[in-house]
Amino acid sequence: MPGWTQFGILADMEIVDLDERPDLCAAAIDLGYTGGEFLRQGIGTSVANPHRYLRHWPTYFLIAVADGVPVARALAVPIAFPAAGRAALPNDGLDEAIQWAVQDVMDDRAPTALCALEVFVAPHRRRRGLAAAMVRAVNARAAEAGLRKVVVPVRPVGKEAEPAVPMAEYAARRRPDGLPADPWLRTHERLGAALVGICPSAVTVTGSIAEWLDWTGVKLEDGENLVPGGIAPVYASVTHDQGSYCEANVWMEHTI
Amino acid sequence: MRLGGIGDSGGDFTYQGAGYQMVNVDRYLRHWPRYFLVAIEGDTPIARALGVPVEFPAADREELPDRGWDQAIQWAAEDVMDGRTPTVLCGVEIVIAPHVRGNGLASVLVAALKTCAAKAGLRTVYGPVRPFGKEAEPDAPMAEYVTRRRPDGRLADRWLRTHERLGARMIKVCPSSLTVTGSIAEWFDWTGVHLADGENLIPGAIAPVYASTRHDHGIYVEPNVWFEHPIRDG
Repeated sequence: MPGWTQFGILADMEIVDLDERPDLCAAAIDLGYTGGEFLRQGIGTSVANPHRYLRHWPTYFLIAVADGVPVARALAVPIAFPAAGRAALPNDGLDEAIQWAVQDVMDDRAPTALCALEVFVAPHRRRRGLAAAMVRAVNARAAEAGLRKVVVPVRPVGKEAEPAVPMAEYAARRRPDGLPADPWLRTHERLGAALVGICPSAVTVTGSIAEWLDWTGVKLEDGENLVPGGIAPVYASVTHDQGSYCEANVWMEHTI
Repeated sequence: MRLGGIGDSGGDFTYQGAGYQMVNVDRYLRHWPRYFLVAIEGDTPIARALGVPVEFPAADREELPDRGWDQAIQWAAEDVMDGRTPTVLCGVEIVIAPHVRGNGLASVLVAALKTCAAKAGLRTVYGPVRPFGKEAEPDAPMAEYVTRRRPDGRLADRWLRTHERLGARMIKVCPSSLTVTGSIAEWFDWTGVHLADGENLIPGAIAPVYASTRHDHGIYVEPNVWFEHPIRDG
């Protein structure tokens, strides 16, 4: 696909989508995931699975390929936004954006925006600007589809080291050069995105004490618990046999 | 199946969860009109009973889910998206106007859902039941609450007892059946309660709301109880 190098990827690479290359789906997923495994146990995220991407959103599942092998993926869902009942980006962030995409399929409602869900780069291909190239490719895809903006519930990568810090405080931190301190927030801002606000309940995962042990290796205790791969605490009640994780993300918006 | 009330403010915050956002009136009209039952007196609705059709069990759905009500609604939405054929009905809610409660109408509506399912060729009606007596005891573990029985052997909770009396079998507790999340400001808007750090008890809830003012969010996770109503003539 000529022209993709304009997104800043290496010349030996190309970016394809699931519509052109459904055969690459499994390999693109097998690259791995960001954050803890428990993050994929939420109800919302399980709806946007590969099977449903193949059927409904194949052109919004982008795959960077080098030597015939996937090295990165970027997933987005088309949504009607703003729209009736959707005046502002939701506090429930990623979870609600996926619900909106599902509702729009069910309601046969035409999308006006794209919500980026995930960019994942293979570990051996990181630190070469590929993540930024994938964001540019998502923006370009939105433009091709006539969508007006790309909204992103950004999960700041550096926050795993500071799960107790409020997201509003974390997202406000800047380096002496004025750019955001967090690398992933910085990538989006450099690409022209504006910070819209915090979504305090962007991703929610609930489970029993036994499920949490299975997912994280941590046996939850009453109150707040920290788990590997989390950017916020898990609230647990042994009496109710219940652990709830709710992470804040940062809404950013790319105007196309 | 949830027993709320027309004009009853208790537990209205549950309508803010993803499940209720999905099963709105427009989507019922478009996809599931035959599973939206209305009891009328003259021309006036006095009660409603809602269900969603789902494929269950299936290769990827071996057991009734721990995420009960929320998961059943997601399955129904997925089945529409995937073009899958449903095999059972899952009760979503039964709501009765206050002035006609206590007349056995709830039992009639449960029976109506079973008839409706049978007519559609569905095999079973499942319900993630909300024991409404638990509003008085939000701190009690659900696993213990559902074992309580009266001296006559029947279930202590009235709504659970209704289902059992109608021939349903209690399967298991679904510990995180209905989840509602929001910012502290949203929770205040929904409930009039300004959440404090830790566990909060709020009107209409059957479990505590866990809040963190530091992270500006509150999480409500409501356990329900799975019941299975077999359909003999289905």
